[in-house]
Amino acid sequence: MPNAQFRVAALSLLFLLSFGGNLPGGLASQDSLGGASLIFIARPKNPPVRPKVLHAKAQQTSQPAPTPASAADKNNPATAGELSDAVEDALELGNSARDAEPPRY
Amino acid sequence: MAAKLDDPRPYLGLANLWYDQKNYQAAAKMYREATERMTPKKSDILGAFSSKVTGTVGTFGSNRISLSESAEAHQYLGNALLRAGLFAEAETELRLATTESYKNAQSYALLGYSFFQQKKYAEATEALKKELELAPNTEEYKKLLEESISRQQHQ
Repeated sequence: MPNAQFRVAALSLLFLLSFGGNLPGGLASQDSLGGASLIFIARPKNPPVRPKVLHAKAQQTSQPAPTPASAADKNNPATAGELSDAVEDALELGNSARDAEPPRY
Repeated sequence: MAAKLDDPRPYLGLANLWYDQKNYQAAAKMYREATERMTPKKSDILGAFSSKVTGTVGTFGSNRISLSESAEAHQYLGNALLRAGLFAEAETELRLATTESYKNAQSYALLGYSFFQQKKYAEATEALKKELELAPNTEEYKKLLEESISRQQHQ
């Protein structure tokens, strides 16, 4: 008799291990959500990447004497342009890593 | 660098990466950062006014953000909050998403789901009906609508 109980318990455990990850969620979504789990957005769109501008050339023509790096750099069009390019690069890298198969997180 | 903090795109990109990895709370935090950078500025009163005409709201860099992009970001935030089980917060965001882009069926579906999870069945029914008006072929939502109507009657 204890042997039979052990078998039942072992079979139950095996069943839970095999289907435990899917069964409760599946039943829950059918019962309370009516298939609503499908409403979630599967994959949000990637943020757009904008084309870069050639800032170095603009700096050469408009600012012949380069100034040392300072807090005023944020007002410098070349620095702002470089930062802008860095953001575009980062976005491009992030998007391509996400789109890779398998994704490179 | 300070100038770039106004750009919502890096936050969207990071949020997407968290979302894909099923870290919905971290994703929601980043989507919120993005949406906060999409809200109209006080100095952009004309932009806010013209949004009725041109369909734009707020700015980042030299680019305007369309109403649909802003609504989409609120939709993503609401979606991540739903996944995280934060239904009331999701409702707030999805209300914004449906206000800014009133023809987006999926936002209404998500809003309906957030109401449903909060046992606000009358509101859930209304939102899901609106969703089905906009996208009549979404069979899976009809079941949720039927369930919502049924629960509303038994409330």
